[in-house]
Amino acid sequence: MEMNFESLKKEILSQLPIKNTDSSIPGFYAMDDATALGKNRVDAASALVFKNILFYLGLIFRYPTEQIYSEIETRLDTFTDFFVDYGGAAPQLPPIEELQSEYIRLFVNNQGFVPAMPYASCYQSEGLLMSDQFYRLRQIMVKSGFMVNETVKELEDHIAILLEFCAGLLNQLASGQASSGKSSGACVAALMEVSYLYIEPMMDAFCDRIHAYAYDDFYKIAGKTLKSLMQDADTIYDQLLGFRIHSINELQG
Amino acid sequence: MNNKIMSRRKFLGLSTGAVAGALFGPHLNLLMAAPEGTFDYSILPKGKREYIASNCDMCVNKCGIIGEVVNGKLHKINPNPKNVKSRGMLCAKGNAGAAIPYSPDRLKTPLLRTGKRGEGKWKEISWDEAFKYVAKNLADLKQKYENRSSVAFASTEGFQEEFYYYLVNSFGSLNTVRHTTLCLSTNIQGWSSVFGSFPDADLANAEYVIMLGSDRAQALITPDSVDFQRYKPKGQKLIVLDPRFTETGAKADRWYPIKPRTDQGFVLAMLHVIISENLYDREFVETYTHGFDELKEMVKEYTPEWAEKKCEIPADDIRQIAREFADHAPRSVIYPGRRSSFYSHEVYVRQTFAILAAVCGCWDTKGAVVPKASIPLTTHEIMFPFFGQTMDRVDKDAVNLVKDVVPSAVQCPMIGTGLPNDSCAFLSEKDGSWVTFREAVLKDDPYPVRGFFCFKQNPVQAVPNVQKTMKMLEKMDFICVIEQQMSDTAWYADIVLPHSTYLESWDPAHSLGGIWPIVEMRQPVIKPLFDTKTMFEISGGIIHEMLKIPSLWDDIEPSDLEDFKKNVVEDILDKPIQDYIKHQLSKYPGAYEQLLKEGFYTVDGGKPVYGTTRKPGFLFKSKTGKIELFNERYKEFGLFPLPKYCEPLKPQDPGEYRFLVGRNAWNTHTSTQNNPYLWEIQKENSVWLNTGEAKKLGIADGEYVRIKSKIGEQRIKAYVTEKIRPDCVFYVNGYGMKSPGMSRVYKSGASEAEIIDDVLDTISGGVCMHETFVTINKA
Ligand code: SF4
Repeated sequence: MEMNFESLKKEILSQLPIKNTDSSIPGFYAMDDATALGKNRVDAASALVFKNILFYLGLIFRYPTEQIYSEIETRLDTFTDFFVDYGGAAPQLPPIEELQSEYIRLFVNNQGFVPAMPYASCYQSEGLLMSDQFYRLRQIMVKSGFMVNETVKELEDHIAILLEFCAGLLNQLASGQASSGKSSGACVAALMEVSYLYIEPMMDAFCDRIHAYAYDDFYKIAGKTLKSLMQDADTIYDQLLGFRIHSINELQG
Repeated sequence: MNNKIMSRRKFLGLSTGAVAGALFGPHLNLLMAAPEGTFDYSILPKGKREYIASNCDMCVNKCGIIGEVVNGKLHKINPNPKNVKSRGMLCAKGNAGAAIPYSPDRLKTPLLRTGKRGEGKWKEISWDEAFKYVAKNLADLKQKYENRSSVAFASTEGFQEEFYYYLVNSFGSLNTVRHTTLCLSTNIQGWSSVFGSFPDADLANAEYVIMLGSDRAQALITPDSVDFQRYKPKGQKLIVLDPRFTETGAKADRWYPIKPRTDQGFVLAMLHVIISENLYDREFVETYTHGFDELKEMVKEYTPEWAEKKCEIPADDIRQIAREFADHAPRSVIYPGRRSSFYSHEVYVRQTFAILAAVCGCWDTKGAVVPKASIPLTTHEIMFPFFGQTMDRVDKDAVNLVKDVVPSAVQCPMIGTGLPNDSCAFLSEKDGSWVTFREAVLKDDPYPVRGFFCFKQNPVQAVPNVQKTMKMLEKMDFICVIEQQMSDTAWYADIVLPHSTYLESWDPAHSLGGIWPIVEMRQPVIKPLFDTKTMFEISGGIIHEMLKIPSLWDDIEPSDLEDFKKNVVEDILDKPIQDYIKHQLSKYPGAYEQLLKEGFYTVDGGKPVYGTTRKPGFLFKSKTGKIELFNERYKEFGLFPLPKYCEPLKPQDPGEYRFLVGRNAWNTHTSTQNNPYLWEIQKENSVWLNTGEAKKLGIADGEYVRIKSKIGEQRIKAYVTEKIRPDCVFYVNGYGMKSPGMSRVYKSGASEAEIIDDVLDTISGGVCMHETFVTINKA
């Protein structure tokens, strides 16, 4: 069984205190019973940790301008244990010029093709940008109160933006910004959708390609870390939000 | 849940004080708060559908398209049934254009090289930095070489190309080189030597059509390919001469596997029959032509029996075709076609075709070849400065320049008797010639060229003899490429500037000449993705930075500089491009609005235009003002004034085959093979090899072979077939890419640039892609 919107929804609904299987409902973020999703206790401390992890990973998968590079460098020690745990090693940051050229070669433009396309759409249907699901993502984002900064010329389903979006949602949950039952539920629903329908489906190919094409270990470890983390998302969300979604593998199995 | 996962969960909860405390400032955010009403929810999930008219840019034809846009995304490209040039056609490439803006491989932001050339190390820079960097390099080159022509500018045709020339002219180099000599320069020169212009063929109304080497069913040209398909079944008679049994040949009434490069002999024999049997149009010849007597004298020796020995077509058939052609005149077409970069002396071949049309009066009337009519647009009165430090074209008078690129077998019998032997006699000032230009740059003769700009052209793949092109690039101090994809040429650049796709940009109006003249322009079908710009914006950005560097303007009069700032920069480049387009169309009220609505504009409802030159006293663009069967300017230049028969090159060794290259209907040269939809149609090319020859060589259909010329070697699958003459082999271009990154076509099939010798036509400067001989062996 493939994880799609319907199966994800079914999975979540099965764990809700009230049952609603009306398949005409377009998305959790708009569901009346999103309130129910927000009723579970949120482990705010863990949510903040996870938020920071995702935000930091988001920085790593952004083009390393001097500012971003310096931010990655400054925080690297803080996240070393995390990388060791999930990626098997502590990444060594190469000089900025090396990192920039490696980033462009892997994720932006290479001679003829991009080895590890950082866009979720590229791992859906035709392998092109802006798949049909792309617009749904844009809608979820806006409904959740986010949009891509007008000065940023990037697509919403770039992995760095997806990670930052998840971090933003976690922040809302942890900080109590989404405190009312319904908005908290919508926030959880958005998090689930982005994690399971956009990030997780691209993980295998994206991270494996990084591993196959990267010259330097930095992105290899970052890719491996991201992949392991998403494999673990089920249990992490269980801890943070009080319910778990079966991983794709389990569902397929 | 396994232990590992458990340990990670603990990590999240228990041991992460520093991680929990990490604070990231808002300045790092890619996301911002979405203001209320940011997104129109009503458009989902049902979708908002729009239809936007524009024009295809997947090849030169510019067919009318209607972009079907759903929720801001291009869902599909539809043909425009009203467009009088494309007649409602949209080919596979045109359809596949829908993938272009959404290709993850497209260039997204300006890139500056940080490693060695070709090493693939880049950094992202902003457009402001890019413009400054380019302007500074131009200033440095000018300073160092004291010659603006030390920077060369290559480009290919396209609606934005005119803005590239704003940059060229603002810098002041005379070294420009375009794709024409890789394609149809010999054709233009040959037909123009007779009629003073290059005509179209009225295939919609012709009764009798002869196509020599043109494959209109595969190499699509509008409206010809459509008319050929549509009218052939309605009684039109079609004769095809081609060493291959092509798709066009399959539709013909008669197909002849003519011996390569003997087409001229076939047509000379037709002329012999038509003139000796008085089948020509005496009135037309007397009224409009010059040099008939000389022609009559020359063709006496070219009997059908003589031609049969040359082209291996029975003399009786030649006679019959000649009589039928004359019988159907003026509704007979000897088809000009398009690409003619085939053989040395190709200009004479095309001149012969044109003469046949002229003596039969098959000119400028229904069903004949017809000069292109056009809808004149209003041009901006621009005076670019006249710079002091500008030397003439590098390939203008370079003595002995062509010596090394014309095979000795062609040179020896011809020198002094028909072909120039030092430079190209009729080199177009704007188009230049890729081969002579590159030769001059490699020799630093007469001066060094050390800067190279390239706009949407990929000479590394497109120009024969890739090794020489690479050497040329190595000589450059500075290379700037403006492209949509990281092409093989862009890969060797110092800076790569990403150009918006044709579906995202405003392109100026263009008058497309033809029997059915039309004006087209482009409007954005979708909003641009990423940080790309059009050439209009790029030229404007670079020129603004150039204006900040005084040394770039020290060889012009201050008043010229002020005029330039006013007329070019303020009045054009600083204004919206829509103003430019409206000015172009100012003679035609309502045209701009119609272009927005329909994507094209015509006058008189798009009726065909015939007979503009069929008026006594009309002055053709020739020395005598007449249609010149005997070319007076050629005589002045020491060339054959009449197209005397030139023998073809022969293979040096037994076992060599003449290499032919062509294309299919689903690819445009070297630019589309990596497109996901088109790649589905054909994943690699294969070499056509005659069945008998394959048997001799012990090669089976589908087996891999090595094809080797004196330039290089390629590995390719054999297609063993009766559909090709035994003395030729053939494959389509665009495969076997040099770049490992051309994921789909890297090492799939063979590249032609790797094996084609850079033989030159010395009249037009065109390359001769069918003058390479190869051997074939099992791989
Ligand atoms: S022939 Fe095909 S590729 Fe060329 S312009 Fe027309 S539709 Fe586009």
